[in-house]
Amino acid sequence: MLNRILNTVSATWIFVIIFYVYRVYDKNECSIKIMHESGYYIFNILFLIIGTLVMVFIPIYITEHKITDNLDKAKLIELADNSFLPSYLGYFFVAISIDNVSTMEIFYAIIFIFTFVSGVEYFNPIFLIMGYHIYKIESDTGVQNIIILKSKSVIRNSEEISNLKLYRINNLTYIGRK
Amino acid sequence: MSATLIQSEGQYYSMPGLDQDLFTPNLLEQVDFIEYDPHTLCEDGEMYSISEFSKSKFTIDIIMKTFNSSDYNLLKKNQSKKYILHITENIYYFNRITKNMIRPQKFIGIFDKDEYEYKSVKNVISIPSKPDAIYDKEKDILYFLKLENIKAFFPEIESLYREATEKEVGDFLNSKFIKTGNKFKSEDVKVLNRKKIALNLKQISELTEADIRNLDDYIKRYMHESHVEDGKIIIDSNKTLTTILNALDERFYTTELHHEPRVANSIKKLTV
Repeated sequence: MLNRILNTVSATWIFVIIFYVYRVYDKNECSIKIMHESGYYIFNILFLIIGTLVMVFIPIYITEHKITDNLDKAKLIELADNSFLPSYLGYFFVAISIDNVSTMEIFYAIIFIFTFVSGVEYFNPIFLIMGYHIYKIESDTGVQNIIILKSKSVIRNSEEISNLKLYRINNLTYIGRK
Repeated sequence: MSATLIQSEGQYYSMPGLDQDLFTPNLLEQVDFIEYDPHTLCEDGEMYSISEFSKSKFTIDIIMKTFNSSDYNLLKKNQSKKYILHITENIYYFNRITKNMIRPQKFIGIFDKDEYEYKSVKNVISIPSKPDAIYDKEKDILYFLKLENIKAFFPEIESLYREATEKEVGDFLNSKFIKTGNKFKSEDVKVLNRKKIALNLKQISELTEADIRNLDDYIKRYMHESHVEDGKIIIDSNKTLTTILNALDERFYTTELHHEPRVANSIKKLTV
């Protein structure tokens, strides 16, 4: 449960960061003024720092985790990076159109709940930066999986998938290295 | 790397995070094997084996397909659990989950300073030292101890040592050379006799008059009683039925050196 919460924060925190960054740089508002707005200066700073740390370090922790499963043969493979990126960019647009901190907090709570419940809490561009790609893979026996995989080059042929050692993030998502 | 699956209501679910060996790895090297035959009983230190199991009609899907542990959904705590399937290095271990195994286990904890404490552990599945069945995928051989215990995994396998159906028992008791006495009916026939009838159906159907006479002499020699009257075998009790069935299977014999009369509990054909 805690894992899932941390993963969700890690996937959605960019929303909060973009909100503050936009306010400071574009609207030229003083950073201290924004923090004061909701009345809890220290809390806000702390939240921002913790959230950013979670966002950066959770993916790194996941990639170092112990192996729990194996996938021996695959039938179909599809690169899924492009289907997640637009919804991620959606956070940016929503974040820059919000006027004040309380609205931001409410919107963030809604986004958090939806991401948590939908099961796509693992998507995080930090993975892409680390060299991983997201694939939809159908195994030899016909079962669909979402696998976040790191390999020398993007995998396009399902025959290259053999004997993968993976860590299971949630019911249908796995992460591993080739 | 190993995977542990639980079969629950017809589907397999994965238990994540268990990657140690659940059973002793070299179990198969410590026992002798005999090819399964319902006439032969298994001794201590032996296991039955069935070769070319994946080609037999008892095989199940999961041992025929490639095994991907990622194919199976995660097990939820409250699901009913029928049996465990533990797979490590192409060897499949099957074990039933009986009520005994999931009952809270009681232990006496022994601590350093001569202190003892009663511990009761709930929410556990205790693992026995010998699994009910082992399948070696590379050799395509199934190993097991008791046929009754593996029908939970391979549903049809009971047909290898089954009881005769009502019809078959009825046909046997009504056949040309059998006469029932003392109001002995097919419902009275006990389980072991039903199994022996199922095994000897062919012999029973091929009996001739001469066979009946020989049978009578054979039984008289060993059991000192006659069950034949007017060329028909009289069966009036389960005990008599057992004697007749043992005689049909030629289980009475005399030893070579000391001439001791014996009845064989378990037979193994010699192929020299």
